[in-house]
Parts: sequence; C-alpha cells; structure tokens
Amino acid sequence: MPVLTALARVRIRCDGVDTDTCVHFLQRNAFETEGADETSPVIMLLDSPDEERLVRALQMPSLACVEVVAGMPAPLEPTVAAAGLPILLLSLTSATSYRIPLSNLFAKAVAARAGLDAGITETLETVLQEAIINSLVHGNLEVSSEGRQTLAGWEEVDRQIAARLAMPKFARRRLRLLATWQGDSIDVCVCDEGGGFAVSGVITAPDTAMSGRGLDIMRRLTQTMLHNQRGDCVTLTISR
Amino acid sequence: MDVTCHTEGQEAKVAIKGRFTFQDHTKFREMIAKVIGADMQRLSIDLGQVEFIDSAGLGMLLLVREEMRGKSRDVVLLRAQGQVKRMFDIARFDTLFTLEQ
Repeated sequence: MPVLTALARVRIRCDGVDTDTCVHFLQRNAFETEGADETSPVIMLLDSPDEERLVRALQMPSLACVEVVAGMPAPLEPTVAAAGLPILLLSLTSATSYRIPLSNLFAKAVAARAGLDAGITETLETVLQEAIINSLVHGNLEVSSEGRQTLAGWEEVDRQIAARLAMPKFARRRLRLLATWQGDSIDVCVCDEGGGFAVSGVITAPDTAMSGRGLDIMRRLTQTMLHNQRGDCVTLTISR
Repeated sequence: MDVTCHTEGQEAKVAIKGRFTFQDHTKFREMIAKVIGADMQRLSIDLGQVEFIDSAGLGMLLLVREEMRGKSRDVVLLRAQGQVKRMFDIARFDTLFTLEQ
C-alpha cells in the first residue's frame, strides 16, 4: 500500500464507535482535527457495518471509512491523501467484507466522486470483484480454489470459508481498498493481510477452466495490473 | 440471489435473479444439484435478471456444462445482457454454450 503525505486537518465521524476508540484511532494515526472546518474531509469510523450503514458512510464528503473492532487496537491506516489529491479509502475486516457486495458499493462511491460513466463504473466493479475475492478468500482466509471442479468441491470450499470466518484470527484480517484518480485514469489498490503469493506461478486458465479465471479478467479489463513483491497488494489502473 | 425452477416435460428451466458471485451462489448450486439429480434432457438457465456475474459465476456455469455433457444433456443460457453479456464475451461463452435471447 503506497504511503502518502498525511492530511493536515480532518473531521472524524464515529458511527456506533465509542469516544475512547475514536480518540485512540486519531492518536495512533496522527491525524489532526483542531482547526478542521466544514471543508475538511471526513473520516468515518464504523463498528461492524452492514450494507446500509456502509452506503451512508461512503457518501461524500468522506474520504475514508474504517471499521474498528471493539476491544481491538485501532487499526493503523498510513494511507491518506496529500492535499488536493482525491482518494477514497475503505478498510474493513474480512468478515464484513465477505457479507456485503463490496465491489458494487465501492465502485459506485468512486464513480460518484470521480464522475465516471456507467461503462467505466461497470468495468471498475468487475475488476474490483475479482481482486477482492482473491484477497479475501485466498489471502486473508487462506482458502484454496482448487476444489471448485465439482459441486461437492464447491460445497467444501463454502464450508471452509464459513469455518474461517468464524475464527477471529482470520475474520479480523483487514481488506483495504484505496482508489485515486486524476487525469484520464483511475488507480485502485486492493490489499490483504494474508501470507502473500507468487504471482509468477499463476498460469492463465483455459477457456473451460472452472476456476482461476479472475486474473485473466483483470488483465483484459485494465491498462495495468501490478502486484507488489509479497503478493498481498494489487494495483489496477483503468482508463476513464 | 434468488433462483426458481420449473419443468416442462423433459426440460428444466432455471431462472436466476440478482448477483451471481463467489459470495452469492449457494442457492444456484443447491438448485442445480437437484436438477442434475433429476436427469432432465435439457436445462435452460435464464439470466435475464442477473445484474452482475464474476469469474466464480462463470465457473459454476461451466461446471454445470460439464455435468450435463457427461450425460449427453443440453444446456442453454438465455437472455444474458449488460455486464453478464460482456463477461460472456470475454470468456468466449459463445464457443462453449448455446446462447439464446
């Protein structure tokens, strides 16, 4: 995840999050609220949001929505914007990410801010969905897709995912989406907290393959698709 | 996702509504297991009300194709439109399925 310059002044909105947790988040991330005014961007903190609350939180003028977990240390979110550079950051646990149509919500939120047409928004949602599932399922939950060649295999994969989502060790791992846009392109970075993977080891799936087609779809629909060395972040660039 | 199925003679007609994705496919998988078990001659899948599909949804359709081909049964995909049609184009589904409007 790229580290950019911290914002000078922000407003914090806490939805279902106690004051101490909000303060701790501010301190841990060195955000400043003193001197913020109605033009200052908003950071939303939420506790286990559902789809409806997340849609509200993603409405402008928020530039970041961060899920905080009761009883856990506030997450460190080093990625915020330099003044004047438009961004949208979403940081959620795996448990929350899996149960909502995240690609749809995030794509629409970016489209509203960047003024994207329906076709580009659809492309953005499509590539986001593939990247999000890779990060969530293979990264954070460490579930392989190899079993998806039969209906029974799919049932087993679903069972493994449900089991992992019930374990705090996996369920609390974060998925981070960061979108930036300027000029004629949009960059979206999708990062997980899994063990990473060797991108060079992934072979393009044949047409009849029942799994493994996600990377190919992302390659076809993006200008560039770049993985970091560890394989736990992918940056997708789409033409507007 | 919502899935319905009715039969007409030896044809099973499955209709899907909503999102067809990795996270949201269970109802389709369960319905298809019943249809395959019933050993119908032909299966048509109406995607006219599917608003979004991902690679997992494509893979599941291919899985159905394999299961039915193994029994020499036909699978037809109906009314793909919008994002679903564009994903079918990327995946060259016209070379793998009978696509009807």
